Amino acid sequence: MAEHESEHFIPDKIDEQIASSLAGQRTVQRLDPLDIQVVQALQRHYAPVKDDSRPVERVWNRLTQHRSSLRPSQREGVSQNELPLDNVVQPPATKSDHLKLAFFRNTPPRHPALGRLSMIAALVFAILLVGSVFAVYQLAPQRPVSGQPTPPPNKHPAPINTDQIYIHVNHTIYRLDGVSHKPLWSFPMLVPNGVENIGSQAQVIGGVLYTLGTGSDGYYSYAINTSNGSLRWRFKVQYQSQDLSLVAGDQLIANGRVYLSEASAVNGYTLVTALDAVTGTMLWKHRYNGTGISYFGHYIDPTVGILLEGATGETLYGTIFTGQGDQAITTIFAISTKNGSVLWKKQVSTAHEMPNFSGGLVVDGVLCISTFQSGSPHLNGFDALTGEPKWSVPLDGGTYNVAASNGVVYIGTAHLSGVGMDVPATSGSLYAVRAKDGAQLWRYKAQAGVSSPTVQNGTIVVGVSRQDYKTPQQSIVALDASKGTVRWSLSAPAPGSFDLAFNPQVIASKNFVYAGISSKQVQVLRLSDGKLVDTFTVPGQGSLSEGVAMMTVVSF
Amino acid sequence: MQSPQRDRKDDEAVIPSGDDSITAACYRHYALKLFAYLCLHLPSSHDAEDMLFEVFLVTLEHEQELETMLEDEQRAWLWTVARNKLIDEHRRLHHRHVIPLDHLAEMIDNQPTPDEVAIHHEEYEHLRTHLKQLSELQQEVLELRFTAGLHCAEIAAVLNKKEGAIRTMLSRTLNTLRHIYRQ
Repeated sequence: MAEHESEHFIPDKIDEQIASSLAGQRTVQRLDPLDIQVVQALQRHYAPVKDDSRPVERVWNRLTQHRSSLRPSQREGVSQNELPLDNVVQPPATKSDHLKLAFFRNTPPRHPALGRLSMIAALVFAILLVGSVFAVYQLAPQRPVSGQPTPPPNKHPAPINTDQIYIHVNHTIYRLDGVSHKPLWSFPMLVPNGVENIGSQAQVIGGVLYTLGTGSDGYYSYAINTSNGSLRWRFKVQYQSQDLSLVAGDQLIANGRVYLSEASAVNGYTLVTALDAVTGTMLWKHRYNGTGISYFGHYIDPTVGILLEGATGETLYGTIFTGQGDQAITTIFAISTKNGSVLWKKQVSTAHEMPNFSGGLVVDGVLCISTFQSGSPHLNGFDALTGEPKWSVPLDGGTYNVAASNGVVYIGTAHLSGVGMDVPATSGSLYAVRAKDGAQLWRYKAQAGVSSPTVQNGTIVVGVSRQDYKTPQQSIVALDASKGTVRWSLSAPAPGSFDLAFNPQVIASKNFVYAGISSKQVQVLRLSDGKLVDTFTVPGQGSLSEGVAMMTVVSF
Repeated sequence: MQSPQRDRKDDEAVIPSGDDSITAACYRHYALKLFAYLCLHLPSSHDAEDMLFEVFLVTLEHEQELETMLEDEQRAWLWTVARNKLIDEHRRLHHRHVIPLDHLAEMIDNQPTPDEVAIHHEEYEHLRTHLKQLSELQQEVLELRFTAGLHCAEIAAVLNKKEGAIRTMLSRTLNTLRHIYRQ
């Protein structure tokens, strides 16, 4: 760059030069037209778009609604260490007594002496307050790690809840306010005769909620804007038409795509569809022959077809359990995300029981899937590139969805003591397994089944319950994710007809744990210590116990 | 308290009158600029909307502190909160799949006329190409100056740098862009 170029904008006068350029005042700072052109181009580049006022107005409406719903203790503010944002840099204090807010508020500035007196009074008050809180803390009995939940919510200010809570119940999706738990919006879906709820677990990615649901003429994959509940797009699923049925549950969302798997048990094939998650347009649809028929002995598996387990940018992974007579085979499919072609497939085990359907994950280049091997459940790791088995960890019971954090895979199990679904889960465990080599880092043993885990801020939270309708017991347990030690444990009301272990209704967010503890009620606990901070009722006519309500929580 | 009586400027948010809280004043004055700033860094305008809400939730919690600050301190404080929220969010997004949206398309969609769109698009592309070549810190300084309207001292407070360093960086960056424009 030429030397003279560096002299147009000068460090000591840069603020004034920019201000003059924006005002088009050449003479004030001796600016030339090119200086002004550059500054004004930058201003146009970064300036807010004029028509952007609507979202800002919507946010203001949410804020006023939020403010009016705050309890008095929360209106007064929370202590600094409880703020959800822990790295706010506070601008340095100033002694200046300029017109502080007069610019905004047309009110005269306070007298400086009055300000100093106020400061002294505030300081004395703060010292007395801290002292009294310390004294009360010393006198109060310490709560045991495990025990009944606690104290009424209003006595212990919790971090301000800024979570986004979504509940899918009775064919309607609700977004609830994090504090008042009142619906901010609802998205009802039409229910044609004879169509049942799918029970899809919604996912929120980039301001969009993705879920399967019903429509006027069948089933759809929905994308809903989280800010206002408006429909972004929907895609018709061919469920219950052309003999197709959705394969064991849910759609898979990864790397900006939505994947759906449908199978025809009659004609023996699976259809996998890839959608653009932003627009909902179909990117490809691929048919996999011979993947739709499965019978084992006299039992025809109704959930045939390729079960989607996980995906990377290049590869979509699915498993299929195919039975022929008395022989059953599990096969992994690696499918190209570009066009749906099969990259490779590998037979991984021969099972003598029906497979369990726990979602897989790709962690550190390892595809982690739980399978039954020779009648015993295992968590298996396969090389995601080649499908070669890398490790296998035996488990003590049936499994649910896996979770992963920092290269460690967490999986809960439940061992049922009899046949059928209404027998007690007399034992279960939570396993922590390192994905890259299958090393079992720790195992937490429970006297009941352990639900799908959720991991937040180094804490792993699970529901532990006996699936026993006569003497139901359930609790919520939080463990240190690195060591497996119990941080806190709470007994939860057990209504008998609701089972934590068999429903994904214990969800941890950044600061809170949400636990469905009855057919209509959700408890909100503080993640750090398990303190009960609130309880709210599920909106709408449905209930969590019906298995149709799915809770999704997103925290910032 | 009196509600602000000043005429509303183009870059101020329209909110119902009668609320003279510090949050309302800050919102009226800075929400549009903050929203634009957040849009630059998040996958969609819906994310920006949600994060704007988060930023002003923090404001609600700190009304008493804000009332003791000067106007430029308030601005720096707000952008510090927004920037920290963005850092948290990017850490979070880093661990999950992100659906990228085209910021440019969103911005152009909001332009009033096709001619303006074309001109804006051309200038935007031209400038964006060159801005991409700047360091991350240089880009951040420009954003804070032109999106938020922060002065050098305020930018220094947000970025935890010395004011002199920001002044030097900003002037050098503008001189570099001027040189490119001249060609």
